[in-house]
Amino acid sequence: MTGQVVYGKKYFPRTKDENKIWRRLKKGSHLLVLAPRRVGKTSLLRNIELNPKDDYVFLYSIVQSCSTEHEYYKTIIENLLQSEFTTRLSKLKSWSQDKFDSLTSSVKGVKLAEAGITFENKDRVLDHTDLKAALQAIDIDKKLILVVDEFPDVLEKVNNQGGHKAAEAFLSGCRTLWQDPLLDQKVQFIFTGSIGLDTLVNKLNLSDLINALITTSVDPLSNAQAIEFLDIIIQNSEEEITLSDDAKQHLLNKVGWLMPYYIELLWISLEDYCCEEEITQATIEQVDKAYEALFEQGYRSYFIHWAERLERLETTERQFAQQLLTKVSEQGSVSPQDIHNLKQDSQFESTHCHYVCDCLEHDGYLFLNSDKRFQFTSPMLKQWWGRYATRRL
Amino acid sequence: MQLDDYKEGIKLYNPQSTSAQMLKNNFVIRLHEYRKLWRAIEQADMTNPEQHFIVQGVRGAGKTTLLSRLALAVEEDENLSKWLIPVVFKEEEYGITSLFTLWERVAEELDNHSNTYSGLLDDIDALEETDPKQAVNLLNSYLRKNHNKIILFIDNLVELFQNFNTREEETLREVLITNNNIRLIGGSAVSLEAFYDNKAPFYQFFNIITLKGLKSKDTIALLKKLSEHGGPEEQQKLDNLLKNEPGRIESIRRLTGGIPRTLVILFHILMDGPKGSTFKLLEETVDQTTPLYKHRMDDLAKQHRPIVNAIALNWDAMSAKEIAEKTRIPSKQISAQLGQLEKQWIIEKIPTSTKNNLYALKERFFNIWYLMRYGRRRDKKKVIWLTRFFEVWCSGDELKLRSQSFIQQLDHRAHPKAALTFANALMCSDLLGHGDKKQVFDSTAEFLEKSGNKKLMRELFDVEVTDGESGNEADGLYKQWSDDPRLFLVKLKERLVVVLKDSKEPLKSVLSLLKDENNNSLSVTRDLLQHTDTYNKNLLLGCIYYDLGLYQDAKPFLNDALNNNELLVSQLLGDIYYDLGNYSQSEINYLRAIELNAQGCHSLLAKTYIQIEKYQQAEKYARQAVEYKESFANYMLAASLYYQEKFDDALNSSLISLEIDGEQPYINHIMGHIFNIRRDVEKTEIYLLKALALDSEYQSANEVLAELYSSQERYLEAKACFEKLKNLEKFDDYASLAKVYIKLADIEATEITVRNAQAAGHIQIFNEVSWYCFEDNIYKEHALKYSTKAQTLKQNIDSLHTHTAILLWNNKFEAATTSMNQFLTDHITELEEREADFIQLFTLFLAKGQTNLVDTWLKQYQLTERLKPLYYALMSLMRDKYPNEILRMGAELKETVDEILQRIEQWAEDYK
Repeated sequence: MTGQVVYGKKYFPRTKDENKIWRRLKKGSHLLVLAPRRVGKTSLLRNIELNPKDDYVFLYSIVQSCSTEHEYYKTIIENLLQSEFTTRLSKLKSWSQDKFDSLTSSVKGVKLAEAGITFENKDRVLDHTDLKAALQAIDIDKKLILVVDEFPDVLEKVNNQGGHKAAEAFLSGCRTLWQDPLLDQKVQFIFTGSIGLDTLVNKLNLSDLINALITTSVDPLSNAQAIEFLDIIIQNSEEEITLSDDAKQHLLNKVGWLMPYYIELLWISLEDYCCEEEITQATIEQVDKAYEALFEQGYRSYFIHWAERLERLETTERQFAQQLLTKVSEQGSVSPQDIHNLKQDSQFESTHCHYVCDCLEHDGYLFLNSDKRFQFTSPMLKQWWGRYATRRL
Repeated sequence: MQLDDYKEGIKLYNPQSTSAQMLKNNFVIRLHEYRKLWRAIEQADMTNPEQHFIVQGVRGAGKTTLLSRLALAVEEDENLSKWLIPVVFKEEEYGITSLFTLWERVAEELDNHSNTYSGLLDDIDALEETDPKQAVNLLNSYLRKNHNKIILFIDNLVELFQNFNTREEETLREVLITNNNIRLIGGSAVSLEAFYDNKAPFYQFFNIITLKGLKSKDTIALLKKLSEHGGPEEQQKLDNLLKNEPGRIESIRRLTGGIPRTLVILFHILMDGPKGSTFKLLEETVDQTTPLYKHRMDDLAKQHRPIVNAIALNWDAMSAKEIAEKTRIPSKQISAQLGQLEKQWIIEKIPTSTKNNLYALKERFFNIWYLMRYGRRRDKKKVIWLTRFFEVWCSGDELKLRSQSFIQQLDHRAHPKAALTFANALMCSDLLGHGDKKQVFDSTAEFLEKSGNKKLMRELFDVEVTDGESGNEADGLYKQWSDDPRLFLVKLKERLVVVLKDSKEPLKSVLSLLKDENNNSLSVTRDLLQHTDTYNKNLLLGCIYYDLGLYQDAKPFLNDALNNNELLVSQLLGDIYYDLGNYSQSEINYLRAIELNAQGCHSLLAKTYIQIEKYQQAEKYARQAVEYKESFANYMLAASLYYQEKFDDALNSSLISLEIDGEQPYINHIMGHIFNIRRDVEKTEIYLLKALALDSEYQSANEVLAELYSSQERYLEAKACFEKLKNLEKFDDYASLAKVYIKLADIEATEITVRNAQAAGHIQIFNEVSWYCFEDNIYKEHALKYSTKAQTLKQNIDSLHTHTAILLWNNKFEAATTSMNQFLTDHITELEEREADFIQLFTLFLAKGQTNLVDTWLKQYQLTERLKPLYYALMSLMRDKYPNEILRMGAELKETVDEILQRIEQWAEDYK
């Protein structure tokens, strides 16, 4: 489904990406799954979580709202102690009430109540050692995979609020956990987020702190997979709309960057168009109409986050990104010389232009094509950027 | 508050206060969106966190109704209701100021739902901190204990979010992503995009459902549903309205943006009775929306009012600089205020290719409301113009075209009675302007006089009350009498027929005509009548006295003539007046005869009522006639039912009539008509052919049949019918015949018909035939020949209009331009009556790529406001030259402008 995490039958299996993750997990690596928003990484991870291989147990935490180290650890520890997870553990043979009790008492000065964890002393601040204590108390015969979603958001907030030192301390704490030889046998981490952690730490000059993480990407669907995906969503639709093979291929060509979210977005627009016009057999022309409609008021919100995400950048970085994207949308692609020329503009004198290019590439705006020129990942995005984004900014 | 009062007024569509049954019954629009959401709810077991939705649409678009309907469906679903609790938040939830209070309110609702949740609110209140995460943990725990899940329906979700800080939004997002016990379906009157303006990273994962303005089809479904509540009378009223004046409702729909709430108001106004012009209708709609918008105006900050005023009166979007000029407020201040107004959703920013954005009122009907309430005369005029443009565009201005072609056909020997009936029908129509009516009246009068049917003039409804010239005529008559009394008597009879027709006291006025110098009218008449034969003399005099109420005086004469039979006199007078066409007098006399127990009069009275279009009365007496087994009773019953459009009953009576009264052309003709209305081609044909077999000169049957065949594209048979009509003495419809030949691509026969028509003095044929060629997109060279001929024979607005179009079609650009220039110079004053023709020609010029010319003309003749949708269609085509002009266009114009552009495209292809 567009826009949100999907489960079970609605989830379109992305076997290659799943296998890639499992291969790395089996090697004992801690992972950094990097992918822009809307490519379906959370769906992918949550479906791995719900269908784990035999020797693994997962815990998923989303930490976007955490702005301090304390809140970060509180969220994860609370999730470890909460019934949803402990129920999962209780199904394991190796689990017992004693082990549950020792888990709940593992973190000093913390009590578990119905409303979550509470502290005996109001000034108690949690850090990585508390999480370590809790993790050590989980004595099971399976490996625990901690999935931490939106992790770069926390790092960014810690940096914004506490400065570089706080960010460094936070990241070091995290690293201590994933480098702890005792924990290493029991726990593996998967960090993920929609802004690139690597580009962020690069900018903060903290890359060495995360170099132990193995970077994994989520790839677009192949054309065959995309056709299969399209068939499934057409089948699941209650509107009786059929598409010829030509029209299907045309729809995928329009999408360009074959991520399920965008394929479904265009399908929904097509479905709406056909229902309104009472059409049951959609043709290439109707796909074109539906594509045009995507840029009308009602659907525009689906794209706006592309503009919004640049808000994270500093002012001149953002301006550079905007100018670059506009140039790409106008010219179709830009060469390294063009980028170089843009960098030389006096207003970008002290801008981390290279960082911005990295961000745009990692966040899925642009990619380097075989001619070593930057172009938009998705024709839809290019179209939208050219029409609206530049005006709004 | 006012807003609520206003909504209370429309119970029918006020969602949250309507009863469950009412809500279900009235739910006729937004079905597609409903099904989509219901499917998403019904199919989810919420084992995992589910998809959340936002329904967005302007105020009154039907969000609340949709959400309420879904909540009701959940509640009533046997399976879902076992575990899923719908929690509905009212449209204006002022209490919720933070995420924590949202959960508190959910706890309150759950407490109301079941006592198993009674501890939840206390537990939340007992929390030391107002931490939403802890509150949601508690909520979760209670839901798990009770094996329940909840689905939140929150209207005006974005207004709620306004109270949340970023952290609360992120927390809510985390809950919605990870929690499988809570699902959210929200409504929003603004697009989230506009609200967040790129800043908050929250809403993206909502699946968005947009409620657009209703299209024609859904509007009609809604109005029909509403009329069901009013019973058959309202349904009938609405049906008539939809049938007779579809352009009227369509025009309002476009002006109001198809917002259901406004359409409900419109419905009530329509049902209140006729309102005259569409503009009147709009005015009343505006009046009734006043509480809603007034409230919005009152809420505006003082410094915002002049800005809103300037933008509203301009109607089209304007730049900050233009606003500054209008309001005399410095530009910098304007920009700041505009930002605030945008946040309040009062105005909308429209980005342009330059740095200067344009600003317009966001809710378009609010703008129209403002123009009508606060605008000066000139501003209101703009709304009138647009209303008319929409009406013309939507109704295709058929009536006007019909009246034009009627006038053209009058040039030759039309059937006088048929012409009269048609002319009178046109005179009665609301849709035809005074100018058109005048034209119809003058042409018909001229025709009647020329064709020797001057006496029928009396039956023609006049547009203006004209003064009678009876005094002078009386003098003339009197003179004639003194010259030759015998001849005069013959004239008198004729005169009686004419005069009796439109006088309330007919015989008295006859007498007044016959006054001598001594004012001794009766004696003069007596003198007169001495010259006639006894029977007629006695009868006539008896009738005169009888009518004057001088029964004693009448008696001796009537005794002689009718053996003093009062009943017979009444019947006789009824008959006389009926023949004279004075139906009100014939009604009085028949009624008196019936009072005196006359047999055989019910049927005649029914016939009279049919003539004066009192069909219900006609039906009543026809039914009595059937009871008394009077002859032609079923005939009259069938006719009265037919005119009331009670077609089933009319068909039954017709069949009985055929059995009892024998085959009658008229009855077969009625049946043919009914089947024609029902589009039963086969039966229409059978009965009309039967009518024709009985009376081969039955013109109307032949005409309908010819029309039927034409519409069926059975041109060969149509041709046969026309050729039959042609053999009738009264044939004059060369134009239709030529049309059939054009359809049959028989240019030779067309040319012959044109020649015949010309020989018969029907010079309009050239114009007509060239236009048919244009309509059919065939024989463009011939069309040019004919239109050129038409121009030389008789130049008028029609011939000039046709000729211009045909020149363009033939790509004679220079000549077309000259012709159009003449059309505009000579006839611009007729724009109001002939708007459709103007639009047509401009559209055709645009189809031929002549944007610069049309641009010049619209400006030269100051038509940009007057023909606003056309202007914006032009601006859309001239984006390169005027990149930002089209951006000023209000959304209420979009649909129409798109249609114009489509037509331009279509014509560009058709008239290559």
